[in-house]
Amino acid sequence: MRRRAYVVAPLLLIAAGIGWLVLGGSAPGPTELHGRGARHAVTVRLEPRPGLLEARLEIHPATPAEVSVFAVMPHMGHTTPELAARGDGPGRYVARGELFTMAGAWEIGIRVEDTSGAEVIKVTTLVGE
Amino acid sequence: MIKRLTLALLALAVLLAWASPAAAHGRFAEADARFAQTIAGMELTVVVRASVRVPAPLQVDVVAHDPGRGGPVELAVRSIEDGASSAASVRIEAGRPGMYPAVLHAGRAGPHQLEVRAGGERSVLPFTLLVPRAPLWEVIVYAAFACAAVALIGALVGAALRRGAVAAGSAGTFAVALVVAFTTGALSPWFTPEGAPDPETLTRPNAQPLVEVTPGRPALGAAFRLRVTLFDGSTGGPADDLAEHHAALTHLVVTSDDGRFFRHVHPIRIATGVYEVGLRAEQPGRHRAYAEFERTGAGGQLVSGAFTVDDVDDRGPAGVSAAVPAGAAPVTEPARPVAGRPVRLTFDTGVTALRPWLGMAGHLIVRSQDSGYLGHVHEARSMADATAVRVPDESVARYGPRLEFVFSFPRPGRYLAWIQYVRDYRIVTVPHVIEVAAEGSTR
Repeated sequence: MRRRAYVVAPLLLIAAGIGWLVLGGSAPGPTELHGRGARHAVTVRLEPRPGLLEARLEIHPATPAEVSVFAVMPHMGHTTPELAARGDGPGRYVARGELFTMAGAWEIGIRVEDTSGAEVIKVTTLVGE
Repeated sequence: MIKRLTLALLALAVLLAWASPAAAHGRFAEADARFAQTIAGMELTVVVRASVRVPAPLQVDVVAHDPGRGGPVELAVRSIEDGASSAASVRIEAGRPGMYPAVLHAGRAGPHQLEVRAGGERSVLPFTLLVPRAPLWEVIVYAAFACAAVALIGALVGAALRRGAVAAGSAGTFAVALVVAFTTGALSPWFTPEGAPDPETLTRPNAQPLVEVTPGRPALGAAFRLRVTLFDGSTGGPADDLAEHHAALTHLVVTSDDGRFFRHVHPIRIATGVYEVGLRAEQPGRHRAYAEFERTGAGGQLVSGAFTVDDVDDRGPAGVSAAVPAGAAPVTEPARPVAGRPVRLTFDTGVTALRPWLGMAGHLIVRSQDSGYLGHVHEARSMADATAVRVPDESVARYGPRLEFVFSFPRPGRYLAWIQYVRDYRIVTVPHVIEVAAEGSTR
């Protein structure tokens, strides 16, 4: 019995280590970001990773508006084109496309244009590989 | 059953012990040092290849983007610490852009000077010859992990063979080795070498330029020299701590007010804080020179100065004049750019296998019509490559045909733009004019 324990315990330890390395990697999960401008507050839900993604936006107050998102990477001097968001219910919008082209710290600009004018609200996120 | 499992476990432990140190050597060596130089009428990039050890041969490649009239280029590397030097030369052939390799000798790591001579001009470029070497704490960590692996094997064997003393001794060694490895790893941030640049300390003062041309008012069609001398904004002394920034110490853009004249060149360093380039006056009137550089441990800076080429410009206002290569014109999206909002500018070069220049697949220089603003935008798809340890090499042709730039024009108005990329080692410049509207404007 003790012999088995000498073998099984290290085996379990090694299996746990391999599992942690394989499953516990740095894959980014969905992130919820909050920002507030002079007239609007915004909540952004997305998976911060390069490539195509979907950003779900909640704008308060939920007045009719044209909404778009873009991203800036200040460290690299890099900006991405605006992605137009389509309505998905009162105050809710969805934007799809490529927002980040590489890993690093990015600023997301949410542009909200309504009858009072345009406002850009910025939130920051860390984009993983 | 137990024996089989023991054997399998031993094999796995040996495998892990073997794989760990090997991974330590899987990282890249330090990056190459690159210096774009406009010298003797040639546009060159001098690449000092990374060394894996010293003393050893030092590979230096001269990439001729514009060979001009060609001629010999003398290269010399000198150690600042012991004065040892090594020299070699390459002969650039007129009409043959491409890579010209040379082999010098590096005796030791540390601060060096690279001297480039051609056509009576001499540039002295400081750089640090780095040799990748694992720091002591890393060696300790990996050695401790290796000891732990061996001790683990010993403990298992001892237990399986009912050798209590061996098992206990090995288990103790295993525990001690793990403690040493993790403790050293946790303390490693305190062991980083002194002098390593800290990106958070962007504390250098500004640098201010003195832009001079010789002669003072170049005649139309005549050659002249443009000199940029940089002074520290706080001490008044020369600012001579420029870092390699996008493969050059200084990027100099010279444009005439009407945009008909455009040069993106890389002045040679002729003395402490003094950068100089030879040009030919091709357009009359006022010109502006913009120098873009980065001081070591600081962010990028842009300084500018003006000079005038004698003659009367009777050709009226215009945009830019350089011939547009065959292919589609650049396309902006949205078609009517609005100030303050990102604009995507794409250009179909019509060819694949474009080579990187200054670390990027393409460059977009934009200037407001009044010369008050100058922007330098990098090709969007190649920007991630530029952050890699090894930046894209000039010899690898893998970009194109489409180049994409994204930029927010700061103010409404007319902007003169120049897209630059490298095809078959030659620099291609595509001029373009972009009208930017104000937000809400219907015009």
